[in-house]
Amino acid sequence: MIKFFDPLARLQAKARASGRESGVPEDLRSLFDTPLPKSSDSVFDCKIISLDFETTGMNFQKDAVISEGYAEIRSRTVDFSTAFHSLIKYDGPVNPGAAVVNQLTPELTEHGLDPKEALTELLKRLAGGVVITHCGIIEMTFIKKTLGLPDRSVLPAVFLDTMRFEQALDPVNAARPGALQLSAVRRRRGLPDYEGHNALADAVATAELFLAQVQAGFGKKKPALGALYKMAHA
Amino acid sequence: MDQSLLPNIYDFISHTYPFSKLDPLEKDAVTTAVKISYHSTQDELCDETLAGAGLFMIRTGAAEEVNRDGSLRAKLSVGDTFGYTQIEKEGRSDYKVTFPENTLLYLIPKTVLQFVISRSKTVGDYFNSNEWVRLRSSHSYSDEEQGLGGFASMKVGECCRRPLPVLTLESTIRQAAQAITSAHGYLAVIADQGALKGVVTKSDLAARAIAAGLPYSERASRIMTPGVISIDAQKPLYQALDLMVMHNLRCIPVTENGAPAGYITPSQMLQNSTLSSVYLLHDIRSAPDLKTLVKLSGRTRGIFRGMVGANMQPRSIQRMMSRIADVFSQVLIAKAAAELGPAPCGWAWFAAGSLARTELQFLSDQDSGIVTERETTKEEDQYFAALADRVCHELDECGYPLCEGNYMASNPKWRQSYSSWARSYDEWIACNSEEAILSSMVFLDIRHLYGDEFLVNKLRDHLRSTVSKNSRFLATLCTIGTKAAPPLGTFRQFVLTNDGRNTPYLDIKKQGVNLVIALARLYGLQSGSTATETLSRLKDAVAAGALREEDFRELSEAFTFLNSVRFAHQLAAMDQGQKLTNTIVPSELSQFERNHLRDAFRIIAKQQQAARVRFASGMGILR
Repeated sequence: MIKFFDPLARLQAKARASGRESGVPEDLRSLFDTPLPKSSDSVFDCKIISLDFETTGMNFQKDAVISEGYAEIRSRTVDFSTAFHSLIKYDGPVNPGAAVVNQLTPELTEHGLDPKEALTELLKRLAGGVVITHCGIIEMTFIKKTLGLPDRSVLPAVFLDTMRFEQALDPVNAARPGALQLSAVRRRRGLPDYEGHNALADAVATAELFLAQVQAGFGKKKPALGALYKMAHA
Repeated sequence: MDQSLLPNIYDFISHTYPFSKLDPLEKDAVTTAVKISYHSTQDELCDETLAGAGLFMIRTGAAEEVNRDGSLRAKLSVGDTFGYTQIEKEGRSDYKVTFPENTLLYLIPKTVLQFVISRSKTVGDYFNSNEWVRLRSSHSYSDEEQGLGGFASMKVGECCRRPLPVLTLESTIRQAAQAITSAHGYLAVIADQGALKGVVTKSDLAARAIAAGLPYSERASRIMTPGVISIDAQKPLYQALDLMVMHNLRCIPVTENGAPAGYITPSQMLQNSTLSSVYLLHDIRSAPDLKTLVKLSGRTRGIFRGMVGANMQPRSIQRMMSRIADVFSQVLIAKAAAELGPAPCGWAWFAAGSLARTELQFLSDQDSGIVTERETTKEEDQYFAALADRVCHELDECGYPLCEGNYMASNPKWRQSYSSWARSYDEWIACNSEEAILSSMVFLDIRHLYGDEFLVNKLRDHLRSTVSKNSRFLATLCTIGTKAAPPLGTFRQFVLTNDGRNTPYLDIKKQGVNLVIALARLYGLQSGSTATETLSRLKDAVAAGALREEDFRELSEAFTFLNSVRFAHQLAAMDQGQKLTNTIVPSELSQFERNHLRDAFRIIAKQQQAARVRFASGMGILR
């Protein structure tokens, strides 16, 4: 019964169940059984991945992922030797506005990786880990959509959201319009200005923000994963 | 990985010395290996988190290096780096790092740093664990290879004006005028079958054509000066000067492989600073009166500017400034002596202080003395009093301010016979009180300027032999000379002193340069050196075994760097029409200067400590 109230134990159970649903591609099923870290685990002992996608837009039905940025945090440090950036092939119409923001032209994206293969590979890396995003609903939804998973699927990783952390840490400032944009949050946390809008730069920027937020919330203490998870899902 | 993906990190690294010196591939290698960490005020890096880790760069926030005894080692802000002296260590670090505020750090891991160091000498020198190697990497002076003779090796071709219009014997006066005008030049040559036949200058056009009423269609060869004196572009510049002086020419055609290529005038040569100082020395010597000398003294600024701008060694610049002051003094003394008539006895004028060390700079005031071969009567001294009074005031008019402490030959106290000077030195040295030494410190550096050189040298030898035998005096001199400690460095807009206080200005003379001068004086006197110049004293101390070669390198690099920072900032002040000072506002220091200043200060502090240990034995006799 105790286990039932442990949010990560519930997450683990839901992920396992998601893997058994109809419609899940066969080659992905076993990934949903990957053991997740426990609530009591110190967060910095877990595999932590900072993730960011660039997409053609925010319409989950029509839009698609065009690049992914990935960086791991090891020993409380963003480790560039683990980082990578991939362009993902996209054949559909390009929304000119998004292309300007992302500086990704159709010419660039047509040489990208196959979306399904790229995100399958990515999910394998994420499985069993802690995934840091800024507004992670985008990444989660695009992973599910691209891989053909049902909308209600629970992915086999612990997603933490720096946007939600910020709301918990600084509710007053976070409530202001525009205050939750990555660059605005970083500025308030005293992090250097940055010109974002490529997936890797954003993933690194998010990782830095995460480290700053953990310091702000927990100081020198090593927070348990469960405590962070509760903060981000309050 | 494509650098454009990480513009922030790539930019930061590209703009942080010495990584800015890397090629794009190496920058990529560094960028993609960076590790980022975030630290709050409760964190510290120490031992295994610091030793052997790599190079940390502060991206935002601030950090403090704290020695194991709890004293502050350095205070660092954005763009500063730390950790490189700990790279080869294991387990235990020499200091720890704490964070006065939340701080984002970039770490370049040891292996990547070693890779970059192996590829780039700039980076390697910069991260050498020896401060002096790091300081040496900060400069490459234009005259380093050739000494002050930079001018001697300069070729005519390097500073002549091009092109040189070439006319034929058939060319008209009008064509000559057109050719000179379109070349924005001053003269044209007339050649026939490859041989230079003559020169037509603008003034020839005016005087020999227009004034004489010749038609423009007349042949230019009619107004040319035949018998061309030209110089090959490969010849040294001073030969062009020789030709001008010998033949009374203002302009000489320059040839390359025999073909006309350009021409050279004094104004082009004057743009070369060393030459302009040679001119100045000549002009000072031949100046008819004080008024002319005062006017000439205004040119020292241009010479200083030229030498700093030409990136010459600070030592060469100070020597040149001293040389100019020497000649001003000598000319003024000679003029006064000529008017006052013969002196009652043999005598000499000597420089003291910075001029005696040949380390004069803009803000130096006069320090001087007179030594006579015998005691003078009151009447006889009237002669020297009149002479000194006049010379000191005239020097003041020429831009060498009167000494505030009145350490000048115009003060009867500093006009003495040889034997009474020698007695004074004996007293200062024997009584060994700090006040007595401080009040006569300026006369520990003396150099002959005028009159009987033997008197001054004898006095210097007396000082030398008395001092080097007196370890108690040297110990007191050491106490005085190491009393002021250099700052730890700069932190943001402040200078951080070693007692943890912040001051808004860096006094680069009192807090830096003077401390090295004091150490050099100490070692120089101890080793019986007759040199007065700081670097020569240190070198002599090495030769005498009083100082290690490594100590010499450390101190000389620190001294050189401090002076170069001082001159660069004085030049900037000059260009902005501001008053020259020895104080620098930290916000005007570049990251590069800040880093190297910290090294220079650390060297001085270390050498002061070593001197205290070495000379303390002299104090032991008292205890």
